[in-house]
Amino acid sequence: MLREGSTVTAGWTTERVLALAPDPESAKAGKSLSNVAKWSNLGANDQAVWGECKGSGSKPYQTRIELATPAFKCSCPSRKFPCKHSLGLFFLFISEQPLFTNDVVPGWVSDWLASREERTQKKAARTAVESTPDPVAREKREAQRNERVQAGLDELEQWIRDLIRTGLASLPQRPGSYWERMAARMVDAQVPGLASRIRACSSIVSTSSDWPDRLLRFLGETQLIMDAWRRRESLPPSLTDDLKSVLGFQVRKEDVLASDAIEDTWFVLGQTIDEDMEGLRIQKTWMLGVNSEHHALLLDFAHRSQTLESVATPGMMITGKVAFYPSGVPLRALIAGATNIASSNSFPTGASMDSELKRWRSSVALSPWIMEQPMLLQDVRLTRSADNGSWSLADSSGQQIKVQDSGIRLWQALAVTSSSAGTFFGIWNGNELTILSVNFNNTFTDLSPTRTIP
Amino acid sequence: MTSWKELVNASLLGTDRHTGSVTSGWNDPAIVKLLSGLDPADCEGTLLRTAGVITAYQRAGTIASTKAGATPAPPLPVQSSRQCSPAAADMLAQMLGGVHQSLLPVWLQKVAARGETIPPRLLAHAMDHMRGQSELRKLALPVLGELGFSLAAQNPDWKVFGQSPELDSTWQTGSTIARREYLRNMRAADPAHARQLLEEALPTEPARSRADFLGTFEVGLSPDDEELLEKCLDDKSKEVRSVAADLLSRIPQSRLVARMTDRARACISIKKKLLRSPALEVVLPETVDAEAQRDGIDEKLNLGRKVGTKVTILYQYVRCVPPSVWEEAFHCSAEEFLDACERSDYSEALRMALVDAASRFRVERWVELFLRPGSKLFEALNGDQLNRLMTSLSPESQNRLLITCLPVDDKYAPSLLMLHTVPWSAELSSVVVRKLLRHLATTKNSAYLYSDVLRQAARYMHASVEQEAAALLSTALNNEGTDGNRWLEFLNSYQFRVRMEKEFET
Repeated sequence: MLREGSTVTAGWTTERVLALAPDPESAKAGKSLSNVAKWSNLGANDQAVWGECKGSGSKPYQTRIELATPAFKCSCPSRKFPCKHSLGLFFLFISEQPLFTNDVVPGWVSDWLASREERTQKKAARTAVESTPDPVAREKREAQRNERVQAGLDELEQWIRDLIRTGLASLPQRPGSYWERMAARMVDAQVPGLASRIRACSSIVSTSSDWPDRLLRFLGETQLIMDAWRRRESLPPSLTDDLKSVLGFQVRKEDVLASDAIEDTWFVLGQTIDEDMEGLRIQKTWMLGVNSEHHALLLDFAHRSQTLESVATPGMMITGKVAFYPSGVPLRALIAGATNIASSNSFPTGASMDSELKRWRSSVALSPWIMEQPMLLQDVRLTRSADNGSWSLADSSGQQIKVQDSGIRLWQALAVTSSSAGTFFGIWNGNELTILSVNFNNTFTDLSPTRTIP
Repeated sequence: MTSWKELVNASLLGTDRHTGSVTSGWNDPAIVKLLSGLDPADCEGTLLRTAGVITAYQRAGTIASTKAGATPAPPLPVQSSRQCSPAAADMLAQMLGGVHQSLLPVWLQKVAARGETIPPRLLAHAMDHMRGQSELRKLALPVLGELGFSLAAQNPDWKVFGQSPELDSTWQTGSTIARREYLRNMRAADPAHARQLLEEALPTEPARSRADFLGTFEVGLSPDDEELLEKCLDDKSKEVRSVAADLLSRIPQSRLVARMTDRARACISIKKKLLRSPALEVVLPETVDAEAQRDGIDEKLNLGRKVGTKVTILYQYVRCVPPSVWEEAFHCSAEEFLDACERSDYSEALRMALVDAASRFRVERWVELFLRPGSKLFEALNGDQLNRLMTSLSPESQNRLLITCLPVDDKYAPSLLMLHTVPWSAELSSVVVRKLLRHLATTKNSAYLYSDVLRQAARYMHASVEQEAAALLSTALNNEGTDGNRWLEFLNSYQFRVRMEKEFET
């Protein structure tokens, strides 16, 4: 007997189940099948939900749901997934839990659960094997992976081409599940980076006023990514590294730490925390090697309720080795071994606007899918356009680049520098700079909102 | 770029319907050359690849602008007053970060009292945090400095800070709200000058502003203001007239009060009886003449369903009469008069009027008669009346009252305590701690009932009872079923504030 208000159902709501429907007709059919009159032999335990549905045939269909994944299996002939019976059973389970009194698992449910368990264990064994370095086996796995990736990309390419053929204009009417299904296929094809891109597209279409512009850019880039994958054998290795990164191939921490590291004193210039739609918090810590003049980016992740670890905060210096993830423009890094972390009173000098923009251009050439780059600009001051009130940073020759002006970082910088020249650190995305910290009159100020002191 | 727009339109339409090339028309020959390698027969592929190439091209190619239009922002003014100490700045940073945030008003007051300002590196965070809360904004005005006001002028989100109420230019050019604050400030420093400024401005200001500005005269109100206020009784706007009447009725020596006294005395007399308590004789007023209307008497004022027009008029008379008048006129004590009123037919209206009069004229003797928990008079008071009475007492009198009431009353004394918004005396703090301890010993769900008191205590409780307060926490933590967290929060806040005050004393 399931406990009242068991935590398993508490996670599932009607809306979430609706999102699983492959198309609106299935959702509607599922809703009409969520009537207890259609069902018999209903049961559930902490792991699964099951029931038998009166169908058009003589024998009722046997429907099973495994709640955690979730996974579905129904004996009906439909090719849709999940089928309308699975949806109906799920809706019924959420709204009328007391009906599911039976927790004795029938054979046709336990058999299915057992076979799933077997498959999961095999997969775990596979990944365990994958981590042991057997070159032949590894090659074989890679070949298998590449096959899956190619199949996934083929499917994606066809999907995108269909979009372009019929025109983007009808996209806003598509439901979220339209995008979510393709994203899920990309996950299955082992290219989670493309799954994120597709989810980003979905968000662009539903929230941006200039969505056609932004969407076309995204789709165009995705096409080039797919072309690059096909030609990967003839690409330089650094470009392949970035390609794999964009596709979402995991690079193991051990491999990164084993590669060559740069030993230096690293000044922490800025730190931001962003939260994505699923509640995952991403902390970016930007550092600059004082001697090597190499920028580095540390990434930390935590879910909503977890605490985010922070090695150091802006204004501090880390002495030690930093290892970089493979890329045409190495930026993402891990600390391989820190010998000292302390607050600092010496600040890196930075570069001119000309040379920083030049560095950006060569970075894009080396790593075409790069989205942002840290910049440390010396001797620049905040200025405001008399025409439209937009803000920029200007160097001594009068050249300006646009500064992102929402939030209070800009006003913080203005208060501290009084619009006189200083050394500004920020993130450049090709269009505008998001300033994160400034060194003025030999005083370093982190411009981000004050953090809660634990 | 026109060509990019065309590309977007083509993609919206779809290659099934769109005709025409997407690879020609680009300016850069390198691009044209690159795109010429694409297969024109593959429409979708060509469109997508062109889009991808142009996107990368544009992203890489942003150059710095050299437009002459942007002028360097003029250097911001330097603060003329000293910054607060680094330790104080750290405390501010903590509070802005979310720790003990309810103590910000204390910090702001302390820094303002020392004539110091918020350091530039915390100004933006501070202003951003405070812009939505009027109490904080008001307290922040003295500590923003020229730099803060300059930022406020440039950031539309911070317009609400207005201009500095200390600058004379604010009166000339500021927003209505800023000018009102300027006037209020001036009333505290030089009421006569403020009066002069307002007199000059009245002929040209709109009605709303006239009423707003006149309202500031509650600060530093004195008989010297009577002449201007009497003139305002003839103002065109009802709002202005009503503000003027209200202010005049607070000046015991004013002619308006004398007129009200005459009217009230015409209605009320006392009949002394042998061997029995004196009885009140009331003759209700019939109508309101023009002069009374000018003084603010409103026939249509609504006191409640059961109260008739004539009683309403009587109420409006009596509430503007200094209570001592009754004692002198009838040679009786305040208690006797109140008693007679309670036994009369119009006890409710008279009580309301006398509560109002006692608060208005701040006659502590009378106020204290009402504020005796357990007495019939006290039981009959509503929250609003309690508020008015309590706030009309001086802090010392409030303190004395609370010290006597708190140990014996549980129902009302805590809400009276909430109205005592000044630093508590050591004795009062002791009383409160002992009461909380007793409460902890007898009730399970204590924190819930006393959360307001705890918050108030963190802010005002005297530093000398730190030890006793710590004992509270250990008792709370030992109590099963008590939410120890609330008590811990209280203790942390209280200790933080005590530290902060010590910091400001050095």
